Parts: sequence; structure tokens; C-alpha cells
Amino acid sequence: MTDITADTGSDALLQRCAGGDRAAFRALYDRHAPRLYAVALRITRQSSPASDAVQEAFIQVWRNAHQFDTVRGNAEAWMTGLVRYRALDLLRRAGPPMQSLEDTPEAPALTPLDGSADGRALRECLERLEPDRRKLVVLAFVEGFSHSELAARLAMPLGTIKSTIRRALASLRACLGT
Amino acid sequence: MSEAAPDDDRAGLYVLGVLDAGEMQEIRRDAVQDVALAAAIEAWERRLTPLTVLAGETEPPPEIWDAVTSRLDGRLDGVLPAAAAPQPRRRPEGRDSRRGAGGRAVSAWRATALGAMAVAAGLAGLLVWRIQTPVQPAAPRLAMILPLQQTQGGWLVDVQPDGRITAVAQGNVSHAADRDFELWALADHATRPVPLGLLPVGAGRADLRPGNLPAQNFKLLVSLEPKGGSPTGLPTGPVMFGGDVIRPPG
Repeated sequence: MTDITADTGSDALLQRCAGGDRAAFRALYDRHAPRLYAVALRITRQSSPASDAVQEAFIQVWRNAHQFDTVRGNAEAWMTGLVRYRALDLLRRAGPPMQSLEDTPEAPALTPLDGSADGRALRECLERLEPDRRKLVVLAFVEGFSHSELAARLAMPLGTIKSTIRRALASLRACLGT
Repeated sequence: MSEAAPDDDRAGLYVLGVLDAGEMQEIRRDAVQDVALAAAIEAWERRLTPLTVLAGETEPPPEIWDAVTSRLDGRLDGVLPAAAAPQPRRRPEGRDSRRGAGGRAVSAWRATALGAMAVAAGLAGLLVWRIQTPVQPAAPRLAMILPLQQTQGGWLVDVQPDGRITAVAQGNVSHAADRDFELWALADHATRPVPLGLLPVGAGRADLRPGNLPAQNFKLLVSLEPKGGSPTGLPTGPVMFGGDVIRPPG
């Protein structure tokens, strides 16, 4: 099969993986691996577990492509999940963070979200949140910080972190709808 | 919090990534059974995935792709049915994580079938599928031999482009006298299988003309049914065997 172009959607590529199409699998990898590797690296902060997370995720992609539901599913979201949960597992199992608390990054600027319609919608909703809520959501998702890690890094009580995040998620859900 | 349903609340925290390892595991386990929770996870994944652009892009080391392909090639080009593949040590975690991670909301039937296939991996022995997918009538036939943990039989199945199926029993596959093995096709993304006919045992052979093969890709499943086949048109007994439609590489 040689008819894969930049316009071939990731959902379609994934569907072709389900049919055993290795070229589609490679195209899917080439398209998403740089982003997914960066996601894993940001969470694990080391190349070895990040590589492990991406490798494991793509094995799952190939094996489970037939379970992907093109009607309801979103290939990018599915693959992102596979990588993130694996990276988070590796991070959590590795024990206490290797980084010092002083290294806690600032929440990154949200402008890159404007590159997609979904991203723009998410940015609009994030910007309606109070700044401290927005910061917690972004740091948690991008950096992979747990409730307790956020509490330690930001010197806030755990209960406050938990309730702030819950409220932030509820607001986001209301803002984004389905 | 009263504004969010408990499922949605848990799903959001899971996808955000703030839970500890034990809590994540628990949610994954629950999502396998709980379709609403799985759907809530999927919805949160869709909402939050755009945030990944904030991590930027980093060229992955080439070893990743090499490792992926060598692992898949080491497993017969990766076309083993996922749930029936021998993964003795990793299977429980792997199943949980991909179901929860993917948040695939599956029908109860499908979940049951896949679960049964996982069980079958421990029971069934030799599975042989020889399939020509109707989607690519000109494609060469492929034979797949999937040796599992023990050898207890299976079938060599040949699917012709016109939908005729020849099934030859292998390895003295057998069942109780008041039972039959029934063959089913489960189309990709379908939630209900269609019955294709009864399978032979011993060293028998059967020519089936089901006339209802899915037009799209499908997998084959075998359930143990009362004599004469399922009375309901859907599997009523355990799904004992399964295999994916095999396509030629390239």
C-alpha cells in the first residue's frame, strides 16, 4: 500500500493497522512519535523510561488497533493515553522524584494550543479558570505531578490541592461540554 | 463535589495524571467492567490531549522503532490475536492498562468475549487459521500457526473470497457429546458477532456457506454451544478460541 499521504488521517491509519498494514503503522509512528516521546520525556525526565513508554505504547497500538472505535474514538487521544499512563506508572514506581523542589517549572504559556480547533477551545476554557487552578491543571497534565507532589512543590495543603483540582476539572468540563 | 458524577470525577483525575499508582490501577481495573467509566475516561482524554503540544516535539531515538519492530516480528509479525497471545507474565497488567488507558468503551458482549479469549489462551492449544480476507480477494492465502501454552487442537480455516469457509479440525479437538463448537465472525468495530456454522471435531472437515460474512475485516471466534448451535443467534457458551483475519504483509 503506497497511498498514504499527509492527508491520511490518523484514525484511518489506525484502522489500517488493524488490518495488518505495516506501512500505515510506520506512518502513524513517524507522525506521532516525536510528540509522544516529548510527552513521555517531560513526565519521566529521563530518556530510558521515556523510550520504554513510547515503545510499549506502539506495541499496544499495533496489537489493539482492532479495538479502536473510529466512530467514538480519537486516535491521537488514544495513543497519547497509552504513552502517558505508561510514563506515569514508571514515574510513580520509581519512587520519590529525582528533581529538587526548586526545579518546579512555571506553567508553560498556552499559545501553542492555538494550533488546533480543539486546542483553541481548551485554551479559552483554561483561561476562564482562576490562575492558580489553571496552573495546577497544566502542571499536572504536562509534568505528570501527582496530588502530593503538587502539594509539596507548591507548599499548599494536600486537601486544598485536591479540591482545587476537582473544581478546576468541573469548570473545564462545563466549559468544554462533551 | 456535587456538580460531577463520581465516574466523571474519577476519570478526570485519572486522565489528568494526579493519582498515585494504586489509584490508577484501581480505576483501570474498574474501567474494564464499567462502560460508563471507560467512556468518561475517553471523553477526558479527548478534552485534555491538546495540552500535549505544550511538551513540544523531541526526535525519538531510533532504537525505539527498532525495538518495536523486533518485538512484533518476534511474535509472528504481530498478528497474533491480542487476547490469545501468550503473554504469561504481563497479561493482567497489560489488559488492564490498555483497556483503561484506551478507555475503550466496549459492549458487555465484547468484553466477555475478549475475557473468555484470554482464558482460552490458557486452555486452548494449537490454533490454526488459514484465512483469505474477502476485502482483498487477490491476496495470497496465509497460514498462521499459533502455538499456545499447550496443544489441544484448533482448526485450519480457509475463507474464500466468495464467502465459503472450509474448516478442518486439528489436533483432535473435542467437546462433550451434548455440545457443539460454533464459529462466529466479529466485524471490526462491531459489537455483535454473526454465526457462521458448526465446526467439526476429531479430524473432521466442514464446508460452511454462511452467506453473511462481514464485508469489512473481521475476527473469528469459536464458542461452545448446546448441540445444534446457539439457540439465540449470539454466543451463549464460553468463547474458547479466537483468531484475527490475517493479511499478507505489505
